[in-house]
Amino acid sequence: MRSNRWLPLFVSFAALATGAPRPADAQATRPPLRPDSTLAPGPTGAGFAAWRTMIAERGRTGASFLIDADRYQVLVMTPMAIDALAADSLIAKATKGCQRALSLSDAQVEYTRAIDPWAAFDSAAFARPLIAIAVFPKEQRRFDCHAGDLARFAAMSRGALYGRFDAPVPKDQVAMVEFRRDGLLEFAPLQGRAKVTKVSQTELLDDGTEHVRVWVDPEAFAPDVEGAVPRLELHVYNPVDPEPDILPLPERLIRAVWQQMLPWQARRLDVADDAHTVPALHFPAPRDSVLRVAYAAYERGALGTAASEAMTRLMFRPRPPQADIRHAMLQAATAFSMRDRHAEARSLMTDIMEVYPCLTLAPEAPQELRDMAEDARRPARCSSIPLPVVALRSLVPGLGQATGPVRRKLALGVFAGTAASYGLASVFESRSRRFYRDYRAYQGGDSKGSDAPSLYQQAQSAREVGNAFMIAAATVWIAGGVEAVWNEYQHKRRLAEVRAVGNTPPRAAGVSFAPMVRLDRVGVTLQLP
Amino acid sequence: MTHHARAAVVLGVLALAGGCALQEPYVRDNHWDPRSSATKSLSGPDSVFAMGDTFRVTLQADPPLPPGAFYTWRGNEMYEGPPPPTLVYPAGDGLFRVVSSTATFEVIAVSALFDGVAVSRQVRVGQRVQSYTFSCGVACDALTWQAGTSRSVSVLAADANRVPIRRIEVAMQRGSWLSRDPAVASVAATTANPAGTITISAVASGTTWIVVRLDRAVDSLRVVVP
Repeated sequence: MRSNRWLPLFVSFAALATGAPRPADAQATRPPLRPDSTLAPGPTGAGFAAWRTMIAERGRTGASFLIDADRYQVLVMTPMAIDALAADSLIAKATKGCQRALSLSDAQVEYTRAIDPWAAFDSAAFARPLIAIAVFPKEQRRFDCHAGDLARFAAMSRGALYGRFDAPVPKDQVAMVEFRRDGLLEFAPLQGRAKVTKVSQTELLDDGTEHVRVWVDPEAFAPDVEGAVPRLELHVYNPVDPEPDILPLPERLIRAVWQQMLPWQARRLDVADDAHTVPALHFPAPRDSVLRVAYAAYERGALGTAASEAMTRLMFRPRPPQADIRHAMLQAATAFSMRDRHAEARSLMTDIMEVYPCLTLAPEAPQELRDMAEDARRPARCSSIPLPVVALRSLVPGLGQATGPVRRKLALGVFAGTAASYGLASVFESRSRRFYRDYRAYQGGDSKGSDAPSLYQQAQSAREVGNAFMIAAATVWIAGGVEAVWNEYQHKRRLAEVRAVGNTPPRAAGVSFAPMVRLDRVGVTLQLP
Repeated sequence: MTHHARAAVVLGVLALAGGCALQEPYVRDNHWDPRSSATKSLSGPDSVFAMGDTFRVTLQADPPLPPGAFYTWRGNEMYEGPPPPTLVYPAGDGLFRVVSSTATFEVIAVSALFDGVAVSRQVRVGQRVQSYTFSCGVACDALTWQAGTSRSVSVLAADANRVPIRRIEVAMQRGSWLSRDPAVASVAATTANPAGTITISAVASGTTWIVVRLDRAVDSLRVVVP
């Protein structure tokens, strides 16, 4: 499920040079080195500081995304990612990892712990939900010695790059960055620049290279009401060229950033309308203890709390059971839909339908939600084949797998694997028989250097290889049949799980036990009426 | 799926299933294979007792050898160092010739070679005394024996091919000699010797016969003591 892929995303693409005009006062509007003021929460940020603090205390979450372009690198960070990368120990870990490769002293390693040029900016932006986008000159000869991506990203978030560096070229420097949505310039509530610390061979180099950060509203990443992802671009100006490098942000990145902010967006649902509305859709009670809290809130109509709690839980490991994830996301989508936040609801439904293309909602579901599900539904086989029929079809290698376009490759693989193994077995058997004929015909005195024992050995070896291929063919054939039956059984089970979802009656009051796994404890929850 | 297509699929599956059999190891029955289960043997005489004799051995094989099968016959002609006293050469097609032998009966292996595989038969080869004559220096009948005197008499022996016996002492070890009347003449306890001589002593007046048996040859010498 896409909303659960909170993992770093590496995207490379070529920067495109276009004829977009450079702002006349580009030099004059270079971002400042220090923030001018502290940002107020704003109309959409009330309570955000407390919420992100709570998230940060629960654990490390939120992924940052690195884009490699021709001349620049872009690091995109949500507030949760900034908090996750904030620990001094991470940059120290990155430097420590590179200590040997770059011949750094212990003092230099320790020194990097204090590098934090964005502390004042981060503090100024803390109370407002903003996405930070940092643009760096491209690392020329990077050393991958950072003891992991998290440490590397943490170091980058503080402007530290590791490797060997050529003398800075003005064309490759970052002077200013514009953030545009669908071609229109988006207002950046905060932007700044800071030096790049180049951790190089035996030295920490400050050659005047700078990088730029802009903070933008997460709403800029919101899909439109049709669910279409906006076209987001960074226009990066260097100090000498009038034309910017245009770096489009990948669609997956835009969706991932947007989804990271959904728990906060959900938080605001109850603020907008405090009246509880009991939804028409009801789902089975989850097994996960945190999701149970969200479930209870949902059942009593606290939709914002329910959606926020559920989506916040999905940000952390361990992952809940798959059914819990599905129902939590459906609850959140229902909550957004009932509060007329159709873009968010559609985004969630799109993610759900991507994983469960055969999902159908109960008749009680709001029509908007059902329409979203239908819109997001991609072609899939939503019927099942009787298992005896699948078993019979599997008599032809691969035919048991040929149940739809998704499994076509596997079907061809089974067929080709069986056929190829069988063919090779036949080839070797034929070869072995040829050798054996020669063996039987051998009457001594052969001048070709072959004798009876070697002819027999060749015949027998070829026969054994042929037998091995025959076993392989049978194994692929049988395994293909078993897999086909098992897959169809699972498919049938999954179809049953996602048919008419949402018509589970609210759970009757009673005492229940459920296993509980949280970040700080493991146990059993006892739920009383 | 049409009826024909379904039938074709079923036939294909059956063919595939029928072909899906593991093959057993091949039978090793080639006579030129040392680990073959095929059997071979040689039949022929057990022994040959005259130099220059030939003998023939016959090869039996199961399964039968194909026509034109290539194999070679071998006696003991391949040797290192000085030639052995007994030599048997192959003369082709299972025929062997005793080129050299002595009164010693030796066991010689004659073989048919199938590349590295040999099938052999052991044959006793030697010279057996077929005939002999006494040699007394002059005509033995003309010898005068005085009581109390001794004379040496040589035995000149030959095998069935009239080839002189080589290493006569070996034949003498197998032989025996006696006097019909030891009161007239006696045969001294004679040790086997390469010259083939025996010593006869005249004891008292009279006439007697000295009988000598070498292998299958028996002859007598008349002794008259005046």
